[in-house]
Amino acid sequence: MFRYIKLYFSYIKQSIIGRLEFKADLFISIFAFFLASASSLGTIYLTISSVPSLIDSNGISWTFWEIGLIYGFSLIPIGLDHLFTDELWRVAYFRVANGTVDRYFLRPLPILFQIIAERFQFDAFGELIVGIFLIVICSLNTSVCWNFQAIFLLIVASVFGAIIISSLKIIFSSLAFRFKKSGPLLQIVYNFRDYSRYPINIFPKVLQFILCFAFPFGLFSSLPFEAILKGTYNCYYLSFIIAGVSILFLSFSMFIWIINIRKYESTGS
Amino acid sequence: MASKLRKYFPFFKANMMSVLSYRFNIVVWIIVTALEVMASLFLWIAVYKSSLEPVINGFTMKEMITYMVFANIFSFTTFASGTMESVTDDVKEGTIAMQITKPISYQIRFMFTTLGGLFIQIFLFGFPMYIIAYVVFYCIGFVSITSIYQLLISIIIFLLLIVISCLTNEAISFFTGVLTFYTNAAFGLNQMQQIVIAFLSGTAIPISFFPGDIFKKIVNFLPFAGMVQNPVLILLGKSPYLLEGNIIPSAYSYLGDGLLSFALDGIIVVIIASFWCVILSLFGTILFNQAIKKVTVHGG
Amino acid sequence: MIEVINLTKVFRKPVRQEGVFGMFKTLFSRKYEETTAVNSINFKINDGEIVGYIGSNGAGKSTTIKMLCGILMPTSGKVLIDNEEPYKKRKKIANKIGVVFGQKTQLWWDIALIETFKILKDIYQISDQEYEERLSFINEVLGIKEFINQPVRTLSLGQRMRADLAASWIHNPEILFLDEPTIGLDVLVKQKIRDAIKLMNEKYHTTVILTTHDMTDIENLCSRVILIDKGNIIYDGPLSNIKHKFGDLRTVEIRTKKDLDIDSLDHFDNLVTYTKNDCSISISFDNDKIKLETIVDYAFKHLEATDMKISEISIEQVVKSILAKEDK
Repeated sequence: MFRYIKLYFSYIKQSIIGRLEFKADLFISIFAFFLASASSLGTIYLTISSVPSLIDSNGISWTFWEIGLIYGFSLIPIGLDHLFTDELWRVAYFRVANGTVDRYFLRPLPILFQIIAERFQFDAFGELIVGIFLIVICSLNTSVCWNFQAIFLLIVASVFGAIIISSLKIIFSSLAFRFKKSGPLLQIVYNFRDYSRYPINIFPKVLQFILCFAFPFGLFSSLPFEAILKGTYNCYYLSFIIAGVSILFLSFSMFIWIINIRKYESTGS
Repeated sequence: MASKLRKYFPFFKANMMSVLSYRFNIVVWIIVTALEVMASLFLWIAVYKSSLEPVINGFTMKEMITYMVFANIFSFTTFASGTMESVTDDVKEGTIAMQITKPISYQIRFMFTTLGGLFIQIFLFGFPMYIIAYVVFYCIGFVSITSIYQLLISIIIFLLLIVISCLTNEAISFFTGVLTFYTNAAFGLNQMQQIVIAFLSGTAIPISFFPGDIFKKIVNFLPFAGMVQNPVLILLGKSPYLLEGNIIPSAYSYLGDGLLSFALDGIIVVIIASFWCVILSLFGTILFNQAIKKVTVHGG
Repeated sequence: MIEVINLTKVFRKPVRQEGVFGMFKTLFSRKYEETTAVNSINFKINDGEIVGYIGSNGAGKSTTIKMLCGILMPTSGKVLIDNEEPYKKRKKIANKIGVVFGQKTQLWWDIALIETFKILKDIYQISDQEYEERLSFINEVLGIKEFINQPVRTLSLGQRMRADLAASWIHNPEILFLDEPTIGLDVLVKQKIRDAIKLMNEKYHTTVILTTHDMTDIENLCSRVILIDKGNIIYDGPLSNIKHKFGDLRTVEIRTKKDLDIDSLDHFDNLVTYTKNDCSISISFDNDKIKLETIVDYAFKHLEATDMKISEISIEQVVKSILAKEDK
């Protein structure tokens, strides 16, 4: 176990050295993300500013700052996942098809470990920074009380939320080992994360269910704030559910991954 | 004239074939964008339900939903210029000097290349989507047609504006591409350009929602408004000059309600959009010529 | 020890149809096209051997290598490396083998070469002492010190191939699989690589299986050769015998007075193969089947020969003619 941790750091070192070669690139991509977030939030602000507050289908009312809190927080699990599992995108989109995954099968390490260790994506810090910044700013404008249970819930939601996202990525990128390419499908599933920026109750019930149990982006992002800000749920109870769903997803994803890896056939002559 | 332009046709055709081969990817991105748009639609529905007034900043809920759908279809099918990246590559690799020696205009060649790709995007994807969306929205009563003449005028002006919008976007892309020659910072610039245009063109939200009267007027003055918001509004039978924050007085205020006012407003939209298109293209040409001088002086 | 028993690989590809409708038809159709890449082959390779695995493109070489490495599953039959199947005990076997694919690199692209070695040291759990020892050996035989601190993406092809070979060997594997390791390289670098392989085999008893199109590689390194064509092994034995197994093969190089009409050689009823250049013809033939005198006589009488050189056939020619024969 410790060997893997040590090995992981060995790998990360190479990501760091490699990335620092393109410093300007990194800053610009982070800045571009700032801009994109500003644009998104600006849009949400302008949308909601025309009404005193947003009332969802459960009758709960949300101010812009509260929605901003959900938006900002949603970036944390997304950022955490992005930090570690970014290489799965390349695998799903083209690396299985062009055979550059062969090398993973030739080394005495688990394939998934190698892929995840291959790339430590610094750009994700952009998401984390913006997320934390938004949480701080929006908190100041809401009546949120940061007691122990709220913080506990947020930490659980961040970490286990990231695990859920990673599990989804693992499931859909593993399909590439069987079908050569699964990038587009992964893209569609991943884009459900757009829905994690809003209070889940503005969506129809069917969609809410999907966002809680099939692609649980709403589970770890919107619901925690309903619990913290509106008291709809008990924080500890929700933490327990999020962790549980997360572990279920992780186990399932490992199972699917192994099945699909077995079906891998190297391409090319 | 036609024979002069004929030499650009291979670029048109090449990109057309290239984009066609990516049709599967395009379908995927349509699905992805549709998901995004759907999310924002639910937000809008919630907003209107929370509102005491049925009309917000000049839009009813039905109008808003229709607008968002069309604005996104428009943005998706029209803003597909790879020119900025291509010029950037030329600048990075230093092949820009080579391009100058060819007997064709650098700028026009890119224009034709982009149009080739857009040809597929608009005809293969755009038109079917526009037609289906229009028919569906008409049947559920989200869109109303005052008369067959209004529909005709809307469509004709809309088609004209599609062309102008494509060319304007191309001009901007070319301009930013040449800009990298001076700044050497290309990566991320393209993303930022897209974000800025998307926001200021009314794709994300109609300009009448922008805060502050002066700010609204400034944004309406910029070329971006005519690139998405205005064409879509005309198609839906609304004159953009009836909305708040406009610097152009609408013909409606002089001639009252009616087809003529609508047509006149539409024509003014076309004129202003064309004006911007030409100006921006010229900016690009001038900047490019300056860049060339720099290259030849340094003996690149 | 490597054992291959009735190894077969059949590829099934869906029959692709043209056009937009074809695209949909392909998705739902059940029509498949089957190609047998490797057809029930058998061989055994002992520790310490250097074996050349040759054949024309598409003969099944790379497919076999991939099955030996464990990255491709056989359709039927078995591969055993030290009595374990590579695709079943992937991690265990991975410790024992090193692989170089000529066209694809296994090095980390954006960082200095030395960093790749450092990561490999950790992956294969190589001790500090062994690491230093092997690194200096590698430098001795492949001379990588000159570019070891450069990012891999800046290396020339020759440097990169040397680096790939070094990286595949740093953990002192029992078996090295080299799939076209000298492709595209200049003569000097090729020699360096061959010498390195020889030394690894001599000093560390590394078993080497080498696929290549370059017969000089084979002549330089391999005591044993396996020739595969269209998925079947048509020769497996000592290199020296291959020349004799398929007859007493000779080559005559003839300089002619002028450019001649070649059809006249058909006179010999396919008992010869030849290549024609500007003012010379190179004829290969089996001395058992058609006598040297006949050829020489013909050359002087009908080809207006001005000069002649008779030599034992090169491996290249052997393989060519074997494959040509198989084609018929």
